[in-house]
Order: sequence, then structure tokens, then C-alpha cells
Amino acid sequence: MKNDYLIQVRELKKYFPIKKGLLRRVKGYIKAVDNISFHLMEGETVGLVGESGCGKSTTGRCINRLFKPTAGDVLYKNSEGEIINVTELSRRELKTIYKDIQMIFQDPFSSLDSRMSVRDIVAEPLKVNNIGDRKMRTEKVDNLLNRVGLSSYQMNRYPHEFSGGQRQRIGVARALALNPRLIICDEPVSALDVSVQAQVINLLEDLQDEFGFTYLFIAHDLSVVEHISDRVMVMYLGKLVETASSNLIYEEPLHPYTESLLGSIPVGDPRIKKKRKSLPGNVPDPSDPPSGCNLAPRCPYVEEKCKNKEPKIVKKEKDNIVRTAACHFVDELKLNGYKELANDTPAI
Amino acid sequence: MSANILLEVNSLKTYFHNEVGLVKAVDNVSFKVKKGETLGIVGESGCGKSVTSLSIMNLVPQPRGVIEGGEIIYHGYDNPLEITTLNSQSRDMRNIRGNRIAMIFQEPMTSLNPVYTVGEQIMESVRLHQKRDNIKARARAIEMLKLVGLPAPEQIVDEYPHELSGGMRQRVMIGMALSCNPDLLIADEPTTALDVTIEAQILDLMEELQDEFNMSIMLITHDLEVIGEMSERVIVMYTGKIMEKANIDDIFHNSKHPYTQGLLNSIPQIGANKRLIPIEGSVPDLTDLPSGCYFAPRCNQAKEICWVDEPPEYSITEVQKAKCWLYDGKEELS
Repeated sequence: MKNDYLIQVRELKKYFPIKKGLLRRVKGYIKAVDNISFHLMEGETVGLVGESGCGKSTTGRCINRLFKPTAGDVLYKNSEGEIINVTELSRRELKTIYKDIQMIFQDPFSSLDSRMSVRDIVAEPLKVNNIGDRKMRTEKVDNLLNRVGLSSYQMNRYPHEFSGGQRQRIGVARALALNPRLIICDEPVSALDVSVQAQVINLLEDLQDEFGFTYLFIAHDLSVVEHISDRVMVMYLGKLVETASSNLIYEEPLHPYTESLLGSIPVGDPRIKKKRKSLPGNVPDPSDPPSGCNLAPRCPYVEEKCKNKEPKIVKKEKDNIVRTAACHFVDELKLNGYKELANDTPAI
Repeated sequence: MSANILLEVNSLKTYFHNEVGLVKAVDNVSFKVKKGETLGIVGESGCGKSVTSLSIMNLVPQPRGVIEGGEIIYHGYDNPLEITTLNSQSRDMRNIRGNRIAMIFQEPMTSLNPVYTVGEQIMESVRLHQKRDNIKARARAIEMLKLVGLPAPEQIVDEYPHELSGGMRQRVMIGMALSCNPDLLIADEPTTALDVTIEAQILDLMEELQDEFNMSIMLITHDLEVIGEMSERVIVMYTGKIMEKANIDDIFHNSKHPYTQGLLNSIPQIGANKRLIPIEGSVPDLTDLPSGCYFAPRCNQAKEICWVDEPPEYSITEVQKAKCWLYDGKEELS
């Protein structure tokens, strides 16, 4: 891993207006992403986890400018070392960014055009960017398909002729076509069967070893994220509540929300006596978030202070590794990691 | 038949006659559900786990779907009742469906009717099956909503499904399913559409209610981890056939069938940090199945015979069975 920033996100905000009534007046905002800052290092895999509606997909789409952020900066360092602020680019300038930042989507059924052959789907990014002639593009598609584990003879087939796992491979091949530097994977395996899911995860890992991509891996499955990520960021209601290296976040979480996520993971093995710990209540409405800490209404450790004052992000450094958590009681709370939760034999 | 069996499925065959050919969605499947137990059925998409449950409910899509053979015997009455002989719309079947055997589905969004309040939907089954008048049925609906842990049930009873979150809708579905005190609850991927924290809530709720109602649960899911948390016995299905049956501990620590082993190796384990070992290839097309064992093309232990003949079910122990040639001649019990 090279020790260099690839992406730096500063105070990113994305608010979606809620329009109501005959005149479609703006009645309020859904704060999908509310003031988050983080960075991605070159060559690393960063997992972004959280419940549905927490803003993890929106964050991904603000980075590659499928959404225009309401405020904040996304700084991208291109291969020449120039730093570009993605949020300020015009449409024409964005084309250069799209080449470097590619995306893999969740649903392999709706993210491939059903009227295009696999050859056209994978060659499209090349065609749009005027790279090569027809013959060269076909050759490249051939290579890409082989690389992701499909055969060249399947090139003229259409998406409906493939299974879910194969379609996801086509999506991966399309993302690879322009030799990107960052790939945003938005729930890339959650629609796949378990056995096929493992194939795609292994493929993504192999490709990273070979080409040195950076991945932003957005997922809700905590076991998958733990497996693939170097660092993990936990999001709740538009805010980052905790970031740390993958090991630390699972072994000694600092934020109560992380602890309850770990406690909710089902463990099948009957020999590991894990007490399932569920977080009460539902995710609050993002257009009307609670005052103070967002988690306060559901938090098992809640105190008066949490209900009134929003917690600051606390930075902690240990052996040159920085981790952050947004909780008033980071230093006071003694939270359980995944292993401790798993060995928590129920009291009789 | 011993007294603690609630439901018995013998050599069930549910086939679909599609334009592309014959699809054997469920092919020669036999199992028993005991009273008060949770039986897990696990498998990938297209393995026939949902069609098995639809067959039990006598809801196989007509006219393409046909139960070609086998029997489903319900032992909840004084005399055993054969479900496959009943007409789907007959009075006897309606008395069982929703009343004795209830079902909850994966998609709480699409399985509730959007134009009726949740109260009306719960009251419908209470009125039909328990012959209660409107006032009593409404009281029962509120009682059920309270039981499944919804806040302010008197208010929610008059709300429409779109006003509730996914987890709340799944609670309503469970309340509706349990409103007539069923003996058997078939839960088809009950938590797949839910977030992990909500999933934990729903699983807690199902365990609590099982104790309270003393009912059996058939838990159908693709998620081995959920199965492991909830069930005592597990059936592993693949392409319409049962590959392995075992107690939950044996599934995780002493699984016999290469498919079960492959599934376990495919799941990332937290803290393990090792490369996943996937099952190569993908689930075959049900209209174009390989000869011999259907799993042979993906199996890492396939022998010559696996490509030619279908293996019978071997008994490893009294409870553990595996449909695999590896155990030919190694049976401990016949």
C-alpha cells in the first residue's frame, strides 16, 4: 500500500429537498449526508457500513459526482499528483474523473442494459471515451471477460442469459475497462447467493492485488465488510459515528452503535454461545433527526447530556493509527468487541 | 406414528410445466416437523425451499404447478389429514391455511395489502377462522399488535402499511400469522429484507412467541447463520432435493455433504482473516440438469459414479442423513 491520499472528503453534505403541495414548495430537507469527513489512501479497501437509509450510498455517489453535494469538498489526487476538487468540476471536466472512479452496483439485474450484448456493455466506456478502434475494443473486452472468469464465446450474449453471479462479473469487467484507480462498490454481493458471493469477493481481492485499486466497499453485511476491508467506517443517520482499522473496530469498538451492530450479527455455530443483543426501536426519520446525539433515543448508555448536545468527533491515536468516534463518553464507556459478545454466556 | 410429529412430508414432488420444459422444483423430498421445534431449511435460490412451503399451504401456482406425487400429512387434528388430496379452495384446506398453519413472507412491503389498514387485515382472518364479531376481532387485532411489540397498538391498528417501517410491517405480518394460534408457522426468509439490528429484534420476537404459543416453526432462509441461531434441526436443499439432514451442531462441526461443507466455507468468519473457498460454478438450470448427482459439476470430491447415477440418501446416524456417494457402504444404521 502506498502511503498517499487518493481521496479526501471534507465536511461533505448532501441534503435532498422535500417538496410538498401544489406549488412544490420546499418544506424541509432530508439530511442524507450531514457533515462527514474522511480520506481514502491509495490501494486500501475501506468498508462503509450502516443500516438502510443511513446515507452510505449517497456518500459513494457524491464522491463520483453522480450527485452534486450540497456543501463540502471532495479532493481527488490524480495520477499526475494534481489535486482536483471534484465538487467544483463542470460536466466536461467530469469526464476525466469518471475514467478514474468507477462503480459496481448492487443489483446485477437492473444495472446492465438488457438490450445490449455483453460486448457492447463492456466496450461502452471505451467507446464513450474514444479509446481504440472497434477491433482493439473487442480484443480488450475479450481480455476483460477472461480476467473476470467469463469466456470469450459469451461475448455476443445478452444479460438475461447469465446468472446473477455472472452478471455481477460483467459489471466488474465494465468497471475495469478504463483502468480506474478507485472503484466504488455499492453492495456488490448482497444480491448474490452465498456460494457465488464468495466467488465475487475473491475476484475483487485478486483484482486489487493485480492492479492496485482502491475500493470503497459499501455494504450492510458486517462479516463481508470485515473480511475485505482494511479500515471500516460506520455511518448512522447521515453521520460517521466511528472509523477505525478493521481489526480494532470489531475487537474494541468505541461507539455504542458499533457495539450494537456487532451484537446483532447472527452467529450460526451453536457452540459459540452468543447473546443476541438487539438495538431497540427504528432508525429515526432523517428529515426530523433527534436533537443532540442521533443515537440518543436508541442508545443503551444514554445520559442527559446526549439528548441536548451533539457529540464531537474524538480522535484517538495509537501506534500511528488514527481512529475516530463521535460519542460524549468515548473514554468512560467500556464496550464489548465481537469476540467478547460471542463468548458472553447468558447469566443463569 | 409417534405423537409428537406435527407435519409429515413424504416423497413430495412438485413440478412445474413451463414452456421451456418440465421443472422439478421439489423432487422427492421427505421430512418431519415435530411439535414445538424449529426446523431450518437452507439453500440457495432455486433450490425449492419456497415451493416446499407453498406445497404445504396448498398454494402451488396453478395451472403450471402440479403436485405429482407424495403426501403431506397434518397431524394436528385427532385424525391425520392428507393435504395434497384437498382442493386448494376447499373448506377443509381453508380451515387449515391461516388457522392451523400460518405463513410469513420475505417482503413485508408486498405481502400486506396497501389499501386496507393493518387492523382490517388482521381482523379478516380472525373473523373467518374464529367466528368473532367485529368488536371482538378488533380487540384481538390490538392484542396481537401489542404482543408483537408495536408501540401504541390502538393507533397502529388504523394505520396503512405504507405508514410503517419495514421492521414494523414484518411485526404486523407475524401478528397476523399468529392471530389464530397456529400450530405451525412457516417463515419464508422472514428477515432477509431487514437491517441487521431489526433482524435481531424479529428473531428475538419469534423465539419469544414460539415459547408462548408452543408452536413449531419452519424457518426457510439462505442464511446459515440465522438458521444456526434459531433451529434445532436443519435440512439443506439443492436443486429440489434434500442434500443433508442433521442437527444444528453436526451441520456446523460435522457436516457430511460436500455441498454443506462448501456453503460453510463460503461464509466469511469475523476474525478469521483467511481467503474464502467458494463453490465453483453456479446453480444449474432446473430445465437442464446434469445426469447423476446434480451437485457433481460443482463438487470438489466428485467420483466417476457421481456423474452417472443419482446417490441415495445414506444414514450417517439416526438423525443425520446425506445424499452422497461418499458414504456408500459406510452406513452406521440402515
